[in-house]
Amino acid sequence: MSRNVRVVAWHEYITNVRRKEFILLTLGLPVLMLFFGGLSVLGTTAAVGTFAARVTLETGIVDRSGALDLSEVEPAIPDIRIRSYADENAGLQDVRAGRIIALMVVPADYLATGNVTVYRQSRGLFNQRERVPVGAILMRGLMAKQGLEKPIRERIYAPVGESGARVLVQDRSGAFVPLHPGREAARLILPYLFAILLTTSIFISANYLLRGIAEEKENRVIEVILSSITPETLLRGKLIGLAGVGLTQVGIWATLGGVPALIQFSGYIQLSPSALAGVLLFFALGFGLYATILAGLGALGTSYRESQQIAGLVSFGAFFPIILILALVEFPNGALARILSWIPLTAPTTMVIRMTTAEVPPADILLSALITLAAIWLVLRLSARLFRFGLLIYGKRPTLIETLRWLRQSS
Amino acid sequence: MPVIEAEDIVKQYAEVRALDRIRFSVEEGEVFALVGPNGAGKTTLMRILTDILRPDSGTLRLFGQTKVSDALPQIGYMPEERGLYRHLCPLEVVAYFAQLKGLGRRAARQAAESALEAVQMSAHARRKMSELSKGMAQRVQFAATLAHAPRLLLLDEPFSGLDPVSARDLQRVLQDQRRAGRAILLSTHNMALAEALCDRLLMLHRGQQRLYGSIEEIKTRFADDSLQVEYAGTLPQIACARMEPVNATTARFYPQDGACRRAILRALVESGADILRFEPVVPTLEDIFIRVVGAEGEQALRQTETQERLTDL
Repeated sequence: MSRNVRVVAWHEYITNVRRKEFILLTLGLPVLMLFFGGLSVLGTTAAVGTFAARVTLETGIVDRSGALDLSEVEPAIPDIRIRSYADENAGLQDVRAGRIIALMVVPADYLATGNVTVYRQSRGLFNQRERVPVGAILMRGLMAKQGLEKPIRERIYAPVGESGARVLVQDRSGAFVPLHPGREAARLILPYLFAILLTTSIFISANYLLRGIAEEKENRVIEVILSSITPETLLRGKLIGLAGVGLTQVGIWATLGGVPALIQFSGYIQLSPSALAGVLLFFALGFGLYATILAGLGALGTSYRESQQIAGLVSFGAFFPIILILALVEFPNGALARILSWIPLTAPTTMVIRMTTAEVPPADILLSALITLAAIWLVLRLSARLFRFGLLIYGKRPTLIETLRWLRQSS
Repeated sequence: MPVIEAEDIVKQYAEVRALDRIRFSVEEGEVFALVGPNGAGKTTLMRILTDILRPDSGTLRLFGQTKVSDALPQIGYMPEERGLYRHLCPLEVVAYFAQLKGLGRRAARQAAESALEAVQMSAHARRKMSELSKGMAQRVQFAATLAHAPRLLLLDEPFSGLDPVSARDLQRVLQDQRRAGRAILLSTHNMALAEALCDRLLMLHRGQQRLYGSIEEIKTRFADDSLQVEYAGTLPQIACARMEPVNATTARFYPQDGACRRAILRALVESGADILRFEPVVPTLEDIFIRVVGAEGEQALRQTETQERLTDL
């Protein structure tokens, strides 16, 4: 690394990490997430507490089918009190008066049609607390009427039993191990977490890069800098300095949030050192590719806002695999995952998702890394030319024809 | 060895020839003016001298080297479009630019402190740039140009937008730099300043080299046999010269039909005029500028005058 690249890199790093916005975002975001996380936990606990408070569900039934024996409903379903009505109107009056929660009317042709009408006061779509288990009441009523032996009836009601089925799943080594919800959660969370970390670090750094370039253009500082160093040196220094800014920010977030999460799931995570090295490689390739593209395009923008709009369009490529994360996690070595790994814009995020999900064939890793490296080499050359051309254009965005002409002339 | 040696420099932008076979040189300890109306090619030439742009053809040697990038650490450049990092303080800005010119971190900081002192900005060295006035920011920009002790200063319109006090201070610093043996190339529309400060000039117009040489020599070249006469009473008309009154007691006589200065004077004496004083008329640089570049030159000068009046207010 040349001396001037180091000077620019250090300047970019130190001036950006000292910005108020950087400090606020870096330290404020975890605090904000902790706050909202805590609020969410508190809210859920309160909601669960409220839900757990027992309510007796007085339920009226008008059985015109004669197919139900309701004698076993109350002992079997907690908190249910059944009140039989011969007259539908009397039941409806009790619903209106709030004496019963609901009135079920089972018509004479119920066995043939399965039609049932339930009358109740409106308590909102998501009111779980006063929900009447209509299906369970009918099932128990029907079964009791059929005269089957009680143990058989109970097994029909609960075919799997209280402890549930013992499920064994194949792990990365091929052995069958008991299914654990934590491990299954980690299987999705880990790739998701890494993909989000990658895209976040890319776009935070790219945002600083764009802002730096836009400010230097707007302030006209760029001409003084270019009278001292080449645009290529400036571009390299900026990329390195701002990679440092992004890594610092993501590092702080990872320490504050990611590490505790990894410790929480450490028993379930199966990420080999080689897979972790691969993830870090694609982190670096992803940053290199996007920062280089955005630097070239950012130099063409006439203001920070305009540069951000350009960046928004390009950045979609990095987010695209996250949209497809369920398919990628389900089939990490499938056709979709492979194709996305060959497209430079989607390769880094796709590979990070694949490598944190399953064993990826080394040939796939090599091919994807080579394609991304080739793209970086090409984009670096084009961006350096765009950078040289765009930096001296003030106030007016060059047209596509002007840009192409410049690229041709400078080749 | 000249500091700058340019031979047949050509720069073409699409259909426009921004510079057409420009040749000039600048010596050590010399203040050199680059003059011309807007669009003459001055900024393009400055950018070529700083390696921001490359010429399409021609040879450029800086300090005897043809690789311009090698000479950049010895150049201090102040562009016409000025601006600095608004969120940093002057000390950081000047030190950063000095580092880019090759100074180590500590040396750059010391150089920045000295340069800010030279432009009387030490008291504001740790304030944010965004808090400084335009004139103060311009002083900081000049400090950034000087901090690494360059052997060549390239100043694009250094006096534009400066208040009279700052302009006088800048002139003083420039004289100090010249005494220290530095070569200074400044582009300007202000002909009076160029005449007062510079030894030689290069005048461009639409990318063409129109005038080049020492200011005295150019003025002599443009001088004719006109006479300025101070008189008492009235002046008679004479056949060999056209008279233009300057004020109630002074007039200028421009020769006609190939008459020389001596003939005009003789005709005046023979006509009985009471002549108190006479002297040959030497054209100012402004006269020459207007004569060479015509209406565009006059317009450029008017713009400069308007800017200066606004600054004075």
